[in-house]
This record gives sequence, C-alpha cells and structure tokens, in this order.
Amino acid sequence: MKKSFANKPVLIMIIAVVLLLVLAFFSASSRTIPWVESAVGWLMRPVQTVAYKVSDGVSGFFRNLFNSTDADLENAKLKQQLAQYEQTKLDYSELVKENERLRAMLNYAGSLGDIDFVTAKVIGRSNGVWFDMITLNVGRSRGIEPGMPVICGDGLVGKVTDVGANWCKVTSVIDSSVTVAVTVERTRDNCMVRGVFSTTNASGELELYYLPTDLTDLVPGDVIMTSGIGGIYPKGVKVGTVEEVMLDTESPINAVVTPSVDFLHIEEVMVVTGFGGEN
Amino acid sequence: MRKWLFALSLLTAFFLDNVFLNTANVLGLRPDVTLAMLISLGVLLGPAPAALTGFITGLLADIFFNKIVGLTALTYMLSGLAGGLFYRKFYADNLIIPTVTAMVCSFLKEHFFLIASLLYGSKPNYFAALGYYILPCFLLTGGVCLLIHLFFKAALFKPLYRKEAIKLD
Repeated sequence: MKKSFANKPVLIMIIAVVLLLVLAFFSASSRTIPWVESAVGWLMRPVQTVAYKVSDGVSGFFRNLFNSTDADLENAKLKQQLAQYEQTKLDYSELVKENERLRAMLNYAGSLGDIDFVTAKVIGRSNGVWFDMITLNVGRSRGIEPGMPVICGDGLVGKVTDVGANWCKVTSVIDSSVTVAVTVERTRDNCMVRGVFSTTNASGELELYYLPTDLTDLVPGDVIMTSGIGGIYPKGVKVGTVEEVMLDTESPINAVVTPSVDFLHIEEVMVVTGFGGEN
Repeated sequence: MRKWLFALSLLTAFFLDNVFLNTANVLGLRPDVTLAMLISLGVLLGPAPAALTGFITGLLADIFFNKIVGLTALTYMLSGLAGGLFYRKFYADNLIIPTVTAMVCSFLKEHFFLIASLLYGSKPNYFAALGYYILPCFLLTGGVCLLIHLFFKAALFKPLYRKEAIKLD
C-alpha cells in the first residue's frame, strides 16, 4: 500500500479517475457549464464547424458515387468540361435547398403561433448509440438557455441541455431518457412518448404510453403532437406518426411511433427562445 | 516531425470518431479509432503519454458531443494505461497484443456506457446490444488498431529505432 502511494504516476492516475467519476456524476444531472468548458468550446467551435462540413462533403461524395446511374455519369462528364459552371450550379442548388428548408421552418414556426426563435446549424452528434445528442452553433451569446425546446420544419427535435458561449447541446426526443407529453391529433387523447434505445435503427423510434386503452381507437397513421402539458414543449408541435398499435396486449406500451424528424439528416433547427428556459 | 505526425494522426482519429463516422457509418457500427490509437501509443510510448492523451481527447469529445462529461475521458485514459502495461514487455512488432487490448478495452468501454445509459433510465436489450453493436464494434476496433499499429511503427517509430540502433553501434 505504502509502496503504491510512493509511486507518483499511480497516485496521479487514481486522483484523475476519482475526479473524472465525480465530474461524470455531476454532469449527468442538470448543471451550469463551467467557464473552462465554455471557453474550450468557444475556441474549438470554428474547427468543429469546418470538420463537420468536410465530413458532410466526403460522405456526400461517396453517397453519390454508390448511387450513380447513367445520368449521373453523364453529369459527371459534363462537370469535368464545365467545372466552373457546375460549381456555381451546385452552390446555387445548395442555396435553393437551404432556402427551401429555412422557408419550411419559418412557415412551420408561423403555424405554431407567436413564438420567438433562433435558427441554428447542427455541427456535431454524440458518439456511439447509447445517447442521442446533437451540438448546435448557437449558445449563450444568442440568448440560448438550458431547457429551451428545439424544433425544425418536420417537428420536435428535442431540448437544450447544456449551453456554452457560442454552442449548445440538445438531447433529442429519440434519446431513451426523454419523455414528452403528447396528444393524438385525431382523438385528442393525452399520453406520453419516450425514446427507444435501438442499436439497429439509427433514425430512432418512440414508444407511446398511458393511453386510455378502452376508450381510444388509435390507428396506424395517427399523428402525434405535443400536448403542452408540463410546460416543457410548446403545444401542437408534430412529434411523429403511429406505426404500430398494441392496445390489446399486456405490454404497457400502447403504440410504436416513428418520429417526424429525420435525425440522421437534420441540418438546420430552431431553438424556441421564448419558451421553457430555466433561467 | 514525429510530434507533428503524431498530433495529426490524433486529430484525424478525433475527427473520424466524433464527426465523420457519426454521419457515415453502416448500420450505426463504427470502430473507436481514438481508442485504437491510444492502445497503440501506450504499447509504443508507455502508459503516461497514452493516458494523458486519452484524458485530453476524451474530455474534448465529452465537452462537445456527449451527454456525460468525464465518461469518455475516463475510458480513454484507462485504455491508454492498459496499452501502456505492455510497454517494453513485448516486441513492438507484436501485433496481437495491441489488437487484443483494443478489443478488450472497446468491449469494456461499451459496457461502461451501457451501464451509464441504464442509470439514465434507458432500457436496452442487452443481448441485442451485444450482438448488433458491442461485438461488431469490438471487432472493428481491433482491426483498426492493427492497422494503426502497423502505420505507427512504419511511419513514426521506425526512424527512431534506426537512430537508436546507430547510436548503439
């Protein structure tokens, strides 16, 4: 024992392990980001943004490569001849797509009533399958606070959990630790959905609970919206569509819901600033 | 030069793990490139630099991308240490040691995260997670560690060994 404590590296390692465990324990609960973490995030965010763009470009290139048809090959040939022109065309097409997405988001935000929001770009995702988080390029400097809901043109994305100076982390609704109070749009039944842990379905799935099973006639295709109960998410935001109904089984799960948001390809989101902040 | 190559390799691993492989993967399966690199570093450089590198890269990954700050840092630091246990105990040419260590560390790391997700209220099906995610990732990480070890030996450490051999002569 005495010998192992005389060994400095072992002692340093033990202290580091203990400190990291304490850090993990405290960061697992709701917290305020310390200034060191915020500063590191501020410094690294531009690098992260570039890295994410490069990654997207490379994966896009390979996607196009494997999905090539005769038209794509001909297109590639033309691209070689008219490289400059094609680059401009690509830029234009990217801008049109972005414009369409932003317009859809704006229309969607307009349909939700008078809400204030900040648009943000997704610049990172959590590593592995155990947790579902995304990193955005907006933070405290744009008025973002923990607890604010995040939506996009397709529906509910999640909730801000950690905020740095110019970045924030969002726990998505498909994370298995997240529960959302919802309403079935057609029948107006109130119930809850919860993220399902899945190693095979990366785009995520939700389970629907607490439906009055003897009173409802839930059918596949029913739209699930946020109910606004609990005050965490604004009312009427689309969450998903019922995929499979299990009302007559012993299981506490009443249905399986497919989220309306494609979490694998999400690029721009809106943080609803006038709602749900903790501070 | 060696330091620059080492830093560049580490940055590449960090980028691959935290950005690229999160968007471009098959069925959600991905090797843990940083962990594989840390094991190889541990075997070639010793426990202290590998553990310190693991601590820093893990902490950065946690700050930016992960839910619980400290978990990746802890697992990477211990992985670096595990690789370092074999420092100068085997020939650096031995490929089995880093490969098997990387596989074991990847297996333990995923279990560590599984326990954390359980504590968070998630209810994963253990055998499904083991079959569809943990074991394939364990094999991928081992394979990547083998390639990284070969690269490190050839690109980073061969010149050093040669220099030491000349000195000895």
